[in-house]
Amino acid sequence: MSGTIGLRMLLRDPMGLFGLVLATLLILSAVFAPLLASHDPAAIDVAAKLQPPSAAHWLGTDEIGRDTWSRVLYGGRVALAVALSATVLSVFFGGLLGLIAALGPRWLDHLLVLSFDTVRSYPVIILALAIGPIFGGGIVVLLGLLVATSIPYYARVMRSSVIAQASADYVEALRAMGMGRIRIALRHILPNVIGPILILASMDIPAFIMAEAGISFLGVGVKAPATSWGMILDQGFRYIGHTPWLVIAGGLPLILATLGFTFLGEALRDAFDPRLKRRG
Amino acid sequence: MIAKLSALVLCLALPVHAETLRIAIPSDPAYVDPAYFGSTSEFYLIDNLYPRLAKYAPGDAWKWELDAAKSVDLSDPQNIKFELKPGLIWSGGFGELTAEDVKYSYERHLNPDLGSGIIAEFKLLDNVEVTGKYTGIIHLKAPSASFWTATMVFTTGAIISKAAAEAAGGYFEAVPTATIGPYKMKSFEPGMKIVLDRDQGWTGTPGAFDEIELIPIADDNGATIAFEAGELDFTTLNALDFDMLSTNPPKGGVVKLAQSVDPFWLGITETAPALQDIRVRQAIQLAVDVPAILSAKSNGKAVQATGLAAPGTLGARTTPPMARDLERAKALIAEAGAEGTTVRLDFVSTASDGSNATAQIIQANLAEIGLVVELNGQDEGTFWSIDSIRGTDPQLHLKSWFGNPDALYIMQYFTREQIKSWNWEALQNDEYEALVDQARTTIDEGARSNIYQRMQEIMEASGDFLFISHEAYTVLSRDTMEAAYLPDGRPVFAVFRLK
Repeated sequence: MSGTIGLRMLLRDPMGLFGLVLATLLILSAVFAPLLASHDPAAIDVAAKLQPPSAAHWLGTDEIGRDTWSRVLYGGRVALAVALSATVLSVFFGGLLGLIAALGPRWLDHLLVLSFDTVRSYPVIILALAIGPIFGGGIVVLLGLLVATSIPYYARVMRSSVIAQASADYVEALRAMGMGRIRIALRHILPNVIGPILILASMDIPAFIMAEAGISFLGVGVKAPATSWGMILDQGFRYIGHTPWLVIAGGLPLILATLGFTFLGEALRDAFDPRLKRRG
Repeated sequence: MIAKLSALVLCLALPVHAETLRIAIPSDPAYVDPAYFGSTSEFYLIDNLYPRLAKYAPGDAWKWELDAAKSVDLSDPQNIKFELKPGLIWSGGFGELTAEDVKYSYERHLNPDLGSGIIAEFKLLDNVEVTGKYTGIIHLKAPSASFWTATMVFTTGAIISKAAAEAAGGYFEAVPTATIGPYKMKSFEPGMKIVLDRDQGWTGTPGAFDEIELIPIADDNGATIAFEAGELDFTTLNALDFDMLSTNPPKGGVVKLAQSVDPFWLGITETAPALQDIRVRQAIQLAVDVPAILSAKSNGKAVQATGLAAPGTLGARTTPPMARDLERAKALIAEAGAEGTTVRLDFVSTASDGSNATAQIIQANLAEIGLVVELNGQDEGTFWSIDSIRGTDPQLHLKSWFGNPDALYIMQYFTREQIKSWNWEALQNDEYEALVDQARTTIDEGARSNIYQRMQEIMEASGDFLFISHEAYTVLSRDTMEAAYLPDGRPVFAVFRLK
């Protein structure tokens, strides 16, 4: 299916369009956060702590008087940066390892598959709780953790797709023509399998956003003075008895981002690779 | 997260008993042995399950009263004579409390093989002479007043059963096999609850409750929800909750603000490479906005501290608290050439005690003078036990210690021999160490007060300490009972009564 037709299908899908609008708004708010923020997100004003929403502070203030609206905007930057980076790195390294597993010697395939399964057997949150304190947390550690636990997923998908393609007639024909394995893989198999993987990756963006927020909520993710929706939620939880707007401020963008990217991903999948939809 | 979920699960799962007192504790105890205690839960249990010769009495003022002792003769401050009440029977079939138990309980702390965490408190102890089944003399190496007030009547003075301890291998873990009092340990389900029930061998005033359940709930929200749901009868919360709860108390709840003697301070390790220059340490002292911390951490319920001795206690300094001076701090950093230096701030990242807010304020304050602070929040167990923090590389650390109305209890730990243990600040001062010894053996209160004040001056001048406050707590209890507290709000639940 051509890109133009796919794009038309995407725009005709109401949920897809809704997702596209939400995702676009979130990306724009993150990119233009310095322009949209009313305050320095790290500026402390304890005298104005836990203020309700007002003209001066649209979403109120937190426990040390920081402007929540500004922190939500900058939190979006972190969420999107982590999610997009994690997606790109996971697809790249996962795809590479999957390709090596599929085309390499049998023993290497076994070794890699065993490694993938071992890593995937650990829940990411548990790993974060164990590794975060050891390495001190922070965005880099968080990103490393998300990438390390996602690589096996993409590697598995890539490996299966490449193995399936490797026995296709056109590959046999290319081999018969004397083309090398690596060249066949990179120039002919990869273009055939990368599309579905990219669509799967787009659907993982909300999962990464949620993971970043969840791990930061638990205190082992993003570190102050950087901000994160998960950190805002954590603060909000502590004061939920008298300042519910903090939880709302941290939770709402998280919900919108998750919905937006999920709808968009599903619409992309339906538009560009309906086979994935059928597989459910 | 687990704590938050478990609190909600507890609300739904716990059965209601008409004569069961349910108290929230922050965590499970690890050691209910006076030699190793450290956490709040362990304090609670040791205070309520073990006898002492005398102990601080519930009330608004720090006064001691006889406990297991029938009489105590303090007329000779080097040789304290005592006589035990007869007929105090250890639970678990370990017989009657005798002077041999007292001797064993105190002298064991001097045994280096035990590794007692309170060895400093017993530094003056020479031996305990048993002169009869119930009588004995505590011989000190020198006359001392603080040995009584800082050690004997506090948690550290707990007496354990010699027979039970030896049967248990020399120390107790989370479940003591022998206690004396209205209640004894019945069961311990880690993460769920500790159950105490009536000790049938107790001949004193019986406890008012059939059972006492101590339920670990780590965060204040969970504890408040559990109280509102009727599943808790007593909990201690952060002072931040006081305004909200006092204006809108939970149904059947009595709200009280307690000013503790627990000091809270920023430790600045003088041996850390980034902090070896005293100008950097002094700059940190001057840059931190303590009033802002107090507002964020306790809604202003705690007052700015001038030292480790709490206001109104012996040795409390009357000098004004250190004032913020950003310009002077910047100048000191410039003189030291320390702009851009990175330091790590370790702290206990508890959900509801305001420590996260405190750490972030310090981070922002120090950024103003050009220092980069990496925050390292940890759970309580990791913070207090991890070797890298305890022994090798502490830098900045936020600490809150259980206090004592006699501040020597804490101040005696900042000596060279404690550097790998409790003196994380690595304070090394000859005058200070001499004053510790002097304080231990000074009888006159006025003279002792002067010594304590001088010790705190040295601490502050070293640049190793930024005194922040003494903790304030919100205490929430059920109106159907009369709760008993020490003057700092610590519950003496063994004597809680039903109205």
